[in-house]
Amino acid sequence: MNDKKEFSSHSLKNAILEAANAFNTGEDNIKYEIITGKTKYFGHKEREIYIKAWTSDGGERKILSDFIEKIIKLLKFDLCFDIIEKKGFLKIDFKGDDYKLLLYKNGNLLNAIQYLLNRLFSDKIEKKMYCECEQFRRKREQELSTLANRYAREVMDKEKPINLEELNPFERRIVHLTINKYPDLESKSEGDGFLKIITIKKVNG
Amino acid sequence: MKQLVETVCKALVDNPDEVKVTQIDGEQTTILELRVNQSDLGKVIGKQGRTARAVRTILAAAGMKQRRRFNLEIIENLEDRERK
Repeated sequence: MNDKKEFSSHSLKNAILEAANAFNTGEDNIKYEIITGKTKYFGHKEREIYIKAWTSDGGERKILSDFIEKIIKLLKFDLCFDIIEKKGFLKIDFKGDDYKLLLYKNGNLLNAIQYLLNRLFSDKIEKKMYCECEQFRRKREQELSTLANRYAREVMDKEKPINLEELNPFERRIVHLTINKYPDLESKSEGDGFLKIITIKKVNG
Repeated sequence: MKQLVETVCKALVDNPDEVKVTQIDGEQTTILELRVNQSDLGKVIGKQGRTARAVRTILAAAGMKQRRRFNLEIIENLEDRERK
């Protein structure tokens, strides 16, 4: 899907620059492999360097946005999205009137779309993708750490273990990190599926 | 919805030409029967059924919007399995 073209120049830097101009993108978005390196004939005549180059970012985004657009259209959802690059991640931020459907049941649909996108494009796109909508993940993080703190106090008061509902790995991590702050308490994940239950209990309790 | 399942599954499998979805419309429910090449069955289902669950979640959300129930059934071709 990513077009590969050959470029040659007297230096690698210039070859990449040429590729960037041809693809109409920045040098950072160019990926390349060297076909023939720079060699010298008889000590003076230099051969040019040949590279095969393709765009990494523009192409990736196009594939991704085309696919998401198609899915939204087929679902007849009133949604739009932005793809933002963030520290090695591609953040897909959804907006629109149907955002509540995405966030229904603790972001079930948002997580399903995120999983499918990563599953489908992991070989074409190097970066991991994560889906966001109305700052759902940040709010969920706060909500879970508040809940974990509340349960932690309850366990210390009543000295009885408490089970949390089934959580995904991202959510479990937040609970474990919160409980780790209490030296008297420990948290354990139980179950063997993708979703697991967390038990909070007193150490040696 | 047939098209949606086809689009997602064709992107998942190695033999996209063999992805076939049959839509059976009921009064309130639509059943979508998915048939894929025997070797692609695992790809459609995923680890611990995660991929199939993700597709079903998308269908459930679409159902909420359209006020219809969509059931995805992955049909295994038993003859192919026996031949293997």
